Amino acid sequence: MYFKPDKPFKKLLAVMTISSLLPVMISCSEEKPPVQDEKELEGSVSISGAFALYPLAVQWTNEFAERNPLVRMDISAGGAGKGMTDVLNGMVDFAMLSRDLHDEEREKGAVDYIVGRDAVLPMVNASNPLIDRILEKGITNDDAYRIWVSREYRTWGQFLGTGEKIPIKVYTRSDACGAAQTFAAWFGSKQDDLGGTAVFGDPGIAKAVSEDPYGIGFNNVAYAFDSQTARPVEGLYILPVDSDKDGKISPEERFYDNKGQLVRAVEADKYPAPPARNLYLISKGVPTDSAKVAFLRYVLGEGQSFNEPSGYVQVSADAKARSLQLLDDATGQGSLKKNTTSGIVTLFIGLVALLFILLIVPAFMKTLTARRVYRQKLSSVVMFILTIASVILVLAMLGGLLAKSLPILRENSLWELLTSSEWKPSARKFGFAPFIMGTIAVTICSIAISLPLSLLTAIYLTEYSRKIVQKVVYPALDILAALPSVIYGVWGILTLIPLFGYSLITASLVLSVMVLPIMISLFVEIFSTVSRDMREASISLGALKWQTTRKVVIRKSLPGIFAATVLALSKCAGETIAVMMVCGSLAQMPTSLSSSFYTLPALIGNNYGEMASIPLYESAIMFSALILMVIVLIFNILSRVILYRIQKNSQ
Amino acid sequence: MKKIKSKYVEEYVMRALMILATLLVLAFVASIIWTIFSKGLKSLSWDLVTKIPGKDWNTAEDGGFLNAILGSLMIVIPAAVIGACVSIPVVFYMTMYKRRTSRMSYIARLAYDILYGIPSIVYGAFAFTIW
Repeated sequence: MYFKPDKPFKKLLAVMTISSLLPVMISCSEEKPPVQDEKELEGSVSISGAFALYPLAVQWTNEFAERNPLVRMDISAGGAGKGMTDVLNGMVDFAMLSRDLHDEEREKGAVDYIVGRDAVLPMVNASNPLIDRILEKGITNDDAYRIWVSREYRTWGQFLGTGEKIPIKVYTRSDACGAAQTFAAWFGSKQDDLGGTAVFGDPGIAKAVSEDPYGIGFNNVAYAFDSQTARPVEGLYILPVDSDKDGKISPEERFYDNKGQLVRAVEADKYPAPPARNLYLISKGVPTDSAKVAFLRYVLGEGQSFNEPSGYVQVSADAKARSLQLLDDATGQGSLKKNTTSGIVTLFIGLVALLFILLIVPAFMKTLTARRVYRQKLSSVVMFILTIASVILVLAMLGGLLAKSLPILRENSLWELLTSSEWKPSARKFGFAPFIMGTIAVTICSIAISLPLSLLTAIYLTEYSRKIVQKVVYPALDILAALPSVIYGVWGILTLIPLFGYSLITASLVLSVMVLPIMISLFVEIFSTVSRDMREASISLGALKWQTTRKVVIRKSLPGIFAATVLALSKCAGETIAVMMVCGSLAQMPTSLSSSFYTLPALIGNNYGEMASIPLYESAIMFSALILMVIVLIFNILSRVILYRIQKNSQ
Repeated sequence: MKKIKSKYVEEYVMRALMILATLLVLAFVASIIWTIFSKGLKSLSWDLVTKIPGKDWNTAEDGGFLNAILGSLMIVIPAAVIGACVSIPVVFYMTMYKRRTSRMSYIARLAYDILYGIPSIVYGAFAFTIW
């Protein structure tokens, strides 16, 4: 007995071959010409990293690209840690770094070139009711320590030494970044030690402080001043630094009116360092590729003319000479940039070629029957492999994550990792309890909101409502289901943050709205498997509709409700971006609905960029992914098995 | 008499709650759409979707985000094509060769449902382990 539809398979295989060739063709066409002309500079330079250096680096790349039209420039900002990871992995040529290089990074081959200098500035909201006195007093590093680290100053009154009970709302950065590390270094701390609500990126922290009248934060010069007017950004005041600690800002400590004034103060060392700091370009090993060398020379030479107008201090002659010396020493030793994608492309071409050969074989067969048998066997083998691949993929993911988290498991006991609440990666203290508790708390809260809502809606839709209502509600649910989760995050930030702040309740609301469409559609499906006869039997005995629903429909579908709820639970537990945007990223046990918290997915999402630079950090991130995967796996298997059983029974 | 009364009260209360819940769900949808459109529409312009970011994009209005749109497409299209290449044969196999109830197709279906349920961030972390 042969399988009949031979033709569709032929078509299918043809489509498969063509479509699998497509990506290869695309990737082939994108390969850059490796040959370099001596006269006209060719090649590519890619840069990623610190927000602090980004505005200046963009000007350099634009100018450099104009002079060398054949050189392709790629630049992106993602925080210092992200840039570091990228450059050490060979994904970019240069990282922008806004802090000093760690020893571990230097060991991995990172080479630094000072390309500018700027400062991190403390900022307060302009509409703070005590703003005049705050600006007059200024801030010392002891004050900053009491605000961000020890949290002794809870009110602006304490800060000023008077009685006002206006709370200080502290903001910090959620991403591993130079600004926070340099700022923390000012009062002898690390970024991990900084308390307060954590938000992503320099623009993020500027926005958060400008929207909170009691807020205090810190930012780079480039983001503290408006690029057009060179005056401080609207809604924000720069909190002057009281260097001599006399409790007031003397005239020589006032240099915050515009960008130029501040840059000159940093240059003259009137502003303390840190928080004034060097900005670096980092490469892995000294570059020898002509385009990269030329870019670096340009940055250290003519590119420096962009520094002052953009709010950066120029590189000192010593630093420049040191960097150029490094370049001179390295030229002559040729080296090739490793093309990391070529391996994958080769593999892909090999696979396609194999498939092609397998398809060609039947042409050499004599009889029609032999060809058919061959094709039949081939297609069933290919499909069998693809089907089995799903199971293998699940196992491979578990295995891969486990292998990557072994280093941290060797150094700490599993129990300690899961129950300790101390999260200080730079001190090798990894306690996942705040993240696990945060994940559990937000999951339970969001289900507590969405379960009754979706149950009631589903019952209304299946048992009560008229067709017209269904015609309105179902498309609305489809819209909800189709929205990407980042839209829910944006909605949370725009609509819910002004009401509840970065808190558990905000994240729970966002998540509960997100799982509503899944839960409602599952419930509707489950309720419709309850047979009509049962409902009619109940009604004929004099029961009202709600009684029928409660005692017959819900009771019959309890396992289904349970399974659907567990499915929604796992969806909530694994949600990353929507939660990350509204959770406040504070590694502490969630104590109340209004407190900031942190979840496992948000931890991974915020910190994967810093993986390469702190030892064991990568392992810690992988371990959190493993925990998350195990939790979700258990939830999923449980609910799917129950749901399958229900579907089977109803058929 | 009392029993009958209470069951009618319950009926009305529950019905009211259900309508309330349904309205709330609709309100959420409306709120999301309204938020996105009211905040987004005013800054939407033709330049935004047809130009790449200019020199000062992060501090002023300069250029658009065509690069992000193209980037999304360049990720989505190959991903969808590769996904289809794997999934279509699997569906054929599971529905035509194996019966739905067989052990093998049960496990495969479970595996795919689980893969669907695994959070995207875990896939991202998994990609780092392949490196």
